[in-house]
Amino acid sequence: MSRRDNIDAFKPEDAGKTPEEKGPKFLKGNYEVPGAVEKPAAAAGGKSSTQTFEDFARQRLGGSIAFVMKANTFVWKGDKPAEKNPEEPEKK
Amino acid sequence: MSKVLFTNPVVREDDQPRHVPYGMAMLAAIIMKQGHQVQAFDGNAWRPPNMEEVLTEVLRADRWDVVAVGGLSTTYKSIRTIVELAKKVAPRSLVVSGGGFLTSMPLDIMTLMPGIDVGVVGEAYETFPQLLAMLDKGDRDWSKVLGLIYRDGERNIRMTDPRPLLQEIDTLPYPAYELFPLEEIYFKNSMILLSEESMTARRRLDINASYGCSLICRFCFHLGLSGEMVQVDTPQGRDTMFNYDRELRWHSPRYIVDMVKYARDRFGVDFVSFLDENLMTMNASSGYKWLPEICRLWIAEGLQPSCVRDNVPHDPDKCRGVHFGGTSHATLVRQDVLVQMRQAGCSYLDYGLESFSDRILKNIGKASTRKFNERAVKITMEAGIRPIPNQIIGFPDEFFDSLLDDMDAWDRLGVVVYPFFATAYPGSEWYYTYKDKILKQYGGNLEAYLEDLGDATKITGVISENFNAVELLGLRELMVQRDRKRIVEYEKVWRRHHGEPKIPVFTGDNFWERVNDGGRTKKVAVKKAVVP
Repeated sequence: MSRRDNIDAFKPEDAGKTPEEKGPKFLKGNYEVPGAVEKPAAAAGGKSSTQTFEDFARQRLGGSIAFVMKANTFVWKGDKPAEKNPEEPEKK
Repeated sequence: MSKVLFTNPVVREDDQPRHVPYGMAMLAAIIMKQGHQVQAFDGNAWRPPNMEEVLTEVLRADRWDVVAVGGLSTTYKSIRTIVELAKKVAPRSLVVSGGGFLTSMPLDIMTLMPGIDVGVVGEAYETFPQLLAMLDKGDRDWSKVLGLIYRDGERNIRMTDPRPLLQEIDTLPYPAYELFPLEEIYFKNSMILLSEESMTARRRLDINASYGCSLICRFCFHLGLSGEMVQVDTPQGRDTMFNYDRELRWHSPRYIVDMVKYARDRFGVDFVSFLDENLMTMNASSGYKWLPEICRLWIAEGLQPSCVRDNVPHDPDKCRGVHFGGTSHATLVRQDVLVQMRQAGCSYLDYGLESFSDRILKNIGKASTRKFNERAVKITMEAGIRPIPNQIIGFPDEFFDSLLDDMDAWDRLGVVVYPFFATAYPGSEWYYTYKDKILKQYGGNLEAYLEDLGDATKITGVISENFNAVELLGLRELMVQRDRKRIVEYEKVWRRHHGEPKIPVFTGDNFWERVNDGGRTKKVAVKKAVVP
């Protein structure tokens, strides 16, 4: 039995229709399934400056969207020798 | 060979679909290599308004031998829809499920979803192909396959012994990204608001360079991929539990860089997000050699972004190369590694800082302190990488002092954040500790809790010993507005009603219980906290 027969066997109501009309949408695979893929949703925009990023991120704040203001940037002078590592992770 | 339909459930409905389901794409690649016929329906990407209608059409599109579905606990509701429809529309297909939602509580899930025929518990990379091989031979005696939960002839739920984790992970193929709507959906949603470069990414994909994490954060669940999963016999049947054992696995730098080159050459990617639980824990475990070698190879193989090489501002129209971002840890991160990562094109590092209170950090099991959190933010910024300072409130021992500690640190560091709420996802230590307390909030209905779970940006099951949901919601707003005055005033009101706060002490021994694991004794996190 061919693949086409397979499909027809499952969807007799589709008999006589073109592949686009009867094929399953939304599928992607390593073999051919009749049908067209549905068109996508809208794209996201993109801007480039630090200020734009921080403004945009601030509007969408929440969950993983969080940031450190670059205007607040300090000069890190390296690890102080006196600073010790905290306890090692607890392990079994 | 089998015909397999992968169905990706909807996750994070409030956001655009941004991530190709990595495990599913990897599984598809593995079984296609073995000659199976595969189709993928990415319900999360397409999100058709008439989902059930579309899903029905998809399920009727072929005689599927297997309908495979899986995901995190937060996809529970969507998975249930898929499973129920699959049984109705494609009754001859074997419905196979897996991923974190099942691995965290296989017995509960098989009970809640009678439509699942077989569940893959833990890593599926070897288990699923073996299942298909048996199916090809017409053999449905699942008791012969390690790492499964299934229904026997009498519909009783059975679980086989756990499958050891795959050791030679470099033998894995690259994920079958092409089975998912890259051009139609994912590349158009390439932007992630984590850095300037990721915000302007045009063609971003995710990769996973390692499995597991050495740390024991008590709200975290490692999907059974960290060597932390054991089996226990319960009155209801065999089930999984999770302990502090760890088996870390990481791909070789060569495998990783070759995969990125493949993604660039085949799909034209300009940004790669590492999905790894924690890049720094792998780097530390490798003697701090792994990330430097990845960065060296990244540059040697021509993946370094031209803006970094030429020391000019990033212009997405002109920049050539691949930027990347990933995950870090405050204590394990090193300044020299950050410099090398920036040179290779790293633009952000996601830190689970969680809190700036030393008490909270110690109780989480985070192996960090306020000082180390602050240091991590500073050295990451100085290296030219954006640190993503994730914060969580509502921990069991959260109180006004810890909230004020957070706010002080935010001001010192310039942190802009809207914190998550502490959430005990199934499989985490605190899920077992606080299960009764959580279920009380849902009238004893586990499924109601699972359906409510999201990405922890909204309140679900409260695990705080001191604050209820209303208080946590209000306190978060006051924190974000830096309204110390009202927080301090409310503490007085709170104390008039409750007296002293409950500050549970979490130490490893409080949570370990010896259990029998296939003849061996193992320690499992099950006991409750000490609440004075």
